[in-house]
Amino acid sequence: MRYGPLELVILALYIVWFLLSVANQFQRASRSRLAPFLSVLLVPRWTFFAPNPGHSDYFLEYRDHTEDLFSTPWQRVSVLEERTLLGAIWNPNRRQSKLLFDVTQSLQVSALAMEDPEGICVSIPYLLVMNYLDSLPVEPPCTIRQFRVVESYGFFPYKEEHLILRSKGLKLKGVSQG
Amino acid sequence: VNVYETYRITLCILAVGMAIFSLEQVVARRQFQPGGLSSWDVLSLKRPPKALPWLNRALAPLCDYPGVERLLWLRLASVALILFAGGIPFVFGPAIFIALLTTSVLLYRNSYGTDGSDQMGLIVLVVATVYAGSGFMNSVGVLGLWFICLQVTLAYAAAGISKLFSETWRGGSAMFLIMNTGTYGTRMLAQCLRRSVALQVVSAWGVMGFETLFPLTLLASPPFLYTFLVIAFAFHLGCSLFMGLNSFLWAFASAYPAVLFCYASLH
Repeated sequence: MRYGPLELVILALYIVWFLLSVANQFQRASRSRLAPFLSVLLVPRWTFFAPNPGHSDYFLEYRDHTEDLFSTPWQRVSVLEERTLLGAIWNPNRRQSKLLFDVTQSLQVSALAMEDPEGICVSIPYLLVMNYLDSLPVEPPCTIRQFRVVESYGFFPYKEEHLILRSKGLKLKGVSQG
Repeated sequence: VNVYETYRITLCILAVGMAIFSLEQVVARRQFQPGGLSSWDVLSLKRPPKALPWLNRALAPLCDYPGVERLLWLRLASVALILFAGGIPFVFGPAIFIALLTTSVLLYRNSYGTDGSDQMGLIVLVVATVYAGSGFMNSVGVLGLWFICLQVTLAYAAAGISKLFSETWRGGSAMFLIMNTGTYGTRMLAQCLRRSVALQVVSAWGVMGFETLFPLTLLASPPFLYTFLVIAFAFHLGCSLFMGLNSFLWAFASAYPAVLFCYASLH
């Protein structure tokens, strides 16, 4: 097949895109300063649970306080559901559980990476969680909400679940009274 | 093999998946609303690309609520055109372009909760847009199909080789660890794997073997090719059933017509 200038330009772009994709499979490239640019350029990183498979669940829990420090028990935000046959085709819950998983995992990563522990309070995942919790009903007379992220080890736990992060108590602003 | 028809089949498979996921997101719209876990009120605070500092403000009408729901309906409309009017080039081209635009905005908006199936879907849409943009030139289409074929081959091979370097995968326990989680697993399968180390090892090596050897499909005889594609499809079907990863089934299956096309070109 003979190629004209258009085909040659497209061929060159595909070759560069593919070579960047190959390079991005190596951890060194995917963790380099170029990584954000690679994702903008649609350079994929194919992992499929490799090399280290996810082996735990992250749970978001919250409790409410009054000003004089009476607090409710921790409540778990759970979006996990039992698998069904229909779920192989229609699974609206999947995005929500992946969203909660990514946000809570990002909180863990941020908590470990930030030198200033206060810094996490202005991170996007932290703000997402606070914004979400702020919209959930609250038992009067509580006005303060606190959350924590717990790492848990599945249906047949082989380790004790443990605390990843506990937020400060935050004054609720826009909550509906439940 | 007709290049245009190969793209039509590719995009029809992808479009079915896109329709399902758009509807799933419409049903789960609570996440996009102001108090939702994926609220644009917060996500708009993320730093836009340096070259496009105005991007978050410009996209606000499409990313806030109910803008994002309208965007999902627009994507559904483009998907319907791909499915039902794909035979008409002057409808097919714009429909692919709208599907690409809406998908790109949604992926930019949703920084959290996306996965490899979104990447594969976006790659297919970009390549199809290039083909449509060229006026459906056969030569451009062939280059695109080769690119999709190489990307899906890379996807499986990279995942397989990466697993080979992991002690957890080689020892087999990876399968139990994944299936034991509520996020990605199934209690029943976790229980079976927990009881049998042999099952752990066989299933882990089965996944690693199929993924690592996938590139050989292009060079092997037809029965080997078809066997591998059936295994790959069954693998994604299993991931849908037992892990809830339904989007991978459509996104990756949409790349198989490109594999078949390239195989036919080679042999």
